[in-house]
Amino acid sequence: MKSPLGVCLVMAALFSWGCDGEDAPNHESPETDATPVDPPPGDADAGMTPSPVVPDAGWLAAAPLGPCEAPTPLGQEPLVETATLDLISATGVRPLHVTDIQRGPTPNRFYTVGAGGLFVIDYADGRLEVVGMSSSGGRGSRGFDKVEPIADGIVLLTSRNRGFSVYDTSTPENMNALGSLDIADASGLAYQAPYAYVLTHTGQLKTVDLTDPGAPTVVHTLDGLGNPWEITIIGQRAYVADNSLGLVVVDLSTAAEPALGAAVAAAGSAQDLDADGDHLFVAVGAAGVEAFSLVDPDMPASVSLTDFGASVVSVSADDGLVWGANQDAVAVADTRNPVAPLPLGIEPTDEWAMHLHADGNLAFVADWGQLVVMALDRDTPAPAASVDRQEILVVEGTSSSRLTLTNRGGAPLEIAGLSVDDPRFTLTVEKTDLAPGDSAGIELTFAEDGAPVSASLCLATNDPGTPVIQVGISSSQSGAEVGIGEIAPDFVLRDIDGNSHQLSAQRGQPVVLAYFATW
Amino acid sequence: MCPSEVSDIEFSLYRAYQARGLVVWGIASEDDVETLTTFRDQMGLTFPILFDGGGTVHSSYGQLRHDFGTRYPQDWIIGPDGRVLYFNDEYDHEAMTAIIEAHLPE
Repeated sequence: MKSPLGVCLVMAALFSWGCDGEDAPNHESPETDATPVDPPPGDADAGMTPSPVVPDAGWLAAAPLGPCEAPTPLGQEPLVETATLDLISATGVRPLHVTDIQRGPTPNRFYTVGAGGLFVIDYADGRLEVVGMSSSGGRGSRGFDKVEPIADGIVLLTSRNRGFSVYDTSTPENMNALGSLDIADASGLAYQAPYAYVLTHTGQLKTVDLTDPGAPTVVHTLDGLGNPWEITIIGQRAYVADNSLGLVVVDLSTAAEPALGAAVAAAGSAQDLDADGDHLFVAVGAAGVEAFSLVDPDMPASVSLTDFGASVVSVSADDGLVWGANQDAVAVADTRNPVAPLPLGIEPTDEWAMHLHADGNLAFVADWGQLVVMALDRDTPAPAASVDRQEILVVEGTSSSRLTLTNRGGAPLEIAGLSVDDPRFTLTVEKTDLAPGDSAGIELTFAEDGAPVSASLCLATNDPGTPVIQVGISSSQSGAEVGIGEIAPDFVLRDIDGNSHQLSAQRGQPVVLAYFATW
Repeated sequence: MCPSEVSDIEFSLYRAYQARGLVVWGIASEDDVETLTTFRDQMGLTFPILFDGGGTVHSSYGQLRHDFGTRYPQDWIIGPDGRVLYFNDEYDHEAMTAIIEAHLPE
C-alpha cells in the first residue's frame, strides 16, 4: 500500500541504514544457529586529496545507491551493548527462538517466550539472569509466541498451535498453568481488567474473561479483521496492527463487546505497534516505522514513515525515542517531532533481533537465542554540515563561484563526496576534514560555452542528520536577475482565523513566507 | 509542502525564533479554509496560515522567478527592510536558519 507521503519520504529520512530489506514478517526464521551479520561499512574514502576534487571521483564509486546519496552509515555508533545473556548456555535449552519480550509489573523483571518456552529474567546491576523457566525438559510442546504479564505472578501466553494460557509465575522456579483455552492461530493480545483481548491470525478478536484466572472464558468474538498481529489498548479504544488492513481502531466502550472502528491503510505490512504521547508507532515491515497521530483517536492519521533498514518486525516507543528490531539489527530514532523522526543509530545483533522493549535510553532485545540490552548514548556529539548558500548563480563573465561549508556540530565533520552533475564544472575544496566550528571553502570553476546552466551540486558528509546537501546552480538566463534584493510585493491577506496581515507592516523584522499545499 | 517540512518550520524556525522577532506566515492558495484548518490543527501549527484564495499573491510572487509554477514548497525570507533575502523551491532548514540568525537582534 503506497504511503500518501510519496516523495516526501526522502526529506523525512535522509539517513540511509544500509541493510537490505526482507519483505514478509517471518517469525519462523531459519533454524540455523546465529548468523553473523556484516558490520556496517566503515569510513568512506578518508584519503581524499584536498584539491582538486573532480566530479565522480571516489565518492560516486562508493555510493552505488544513486547519484546523490550518502554512503551508508559513517562515523558514530551511539548504540552500545551493555548486557548479554546467552539463554542456551544459561539454561541448556535448545532451540530457543525467542520471539517476544515484555516487562512485568515487578520492577526489572522480564518475560520472554519462544520455541523454548516461557522464561523469567531479572535485570539487576546491569546484568540479566534467568530466574525461572516453564519447563525443564522435552521439546516441541512448550513453545509460545506472545507473552503479556498482567499482574504480579500472572502472565498470559498465546501460541499459534496451542492457543491461550494463563500461567502462575509467582514462584518463577516452579511455574504452572492455571488455565487455558483452545484458540486456534492465536496472535497478539492485550489486557485491561478483567478482560484479555486475544487476536487470531484468521481475523478475529476474542474477549476472554479473566475474573477467575483459573477458568478463562471467551465471552465475545469479533470478526472482520484481516491478519492481525498485535494490539494495544489506550483507554476506551484498542489499536490493532493488521498485516492486511493496516491500523485498525477497535471500540472498547463496552468492554465485553468490542466493535470495529476505522481501518487506516498502512505503508506496509503492519505487525507491531506502540504508543508514545499522542502518537502510535507501527512496524510496517520493509517500509519501516510509520507514525500516526491520535489527535482524533477514532481516526489515526499517518504523519511520517521512517526507514529502519531491513523489515521491521517489532517496535517499542518511550520518552521520545522509537526503537525497531528488524531481525538483523536494532535501530532507534528520536521522535520528539513525530512528523520528522531523526534516525540516531543502528546496531546489528549477533542473532535475529525479533522483539524489543524500550525503557528510556535502554532497549531489551529478544535476539533469538540470547537477550541483549542496548543503551543509547544521547550525548554523543555529532558533526553538523551547513553551507552558506542555497543557490549558486552563474553570472555571465565570472568563471568561478564559492561556497563555504561550516561544521556547526560538536564532532569532526568529514566530506565523503562532492560532485556537480554538469561536466562543465570542476570543483576544488580547501580541506575535507573540519573540526567543530571550522569552515572550508568549496570553489566551483565553470567552463562557459554560452549554453544555460541548470545543475545541482551534491555534498555528502558524515552529518547523521543531513548526510546529503544539494545546492542548485543556475545561470542568469533562468530569470534569477530579479528576486533576491528586490522589494517584496506587498499584500494584505486574512488568515484562517479571520485576522488580517499586511506584509509591509512587518518592516523591522524578518518574515518567512512558506507557500504550501496540504497535499 | 511535505508535512515534515511544515512541521519543521513550526518547531525549528517559528518556535525557536519567534521570541526574537521572527514572523512566519504560511500561505496557501490551493486548499479551502476548512482543509487548512484541519491541517493546521493536526500538525499543531501556531503561526498564521494565510488564505490566498484567488492565488493573486502567489502569482505576484511567482512572477519574480521564471522557472516555478505551482510546485511546492516555496520558501521566501523577506528582510527587515522589505527586500527579498532568500527564495528556495526546496526546503533548506540550514540555509534559512543562517539567514534568520543574521537578521535578528541578539
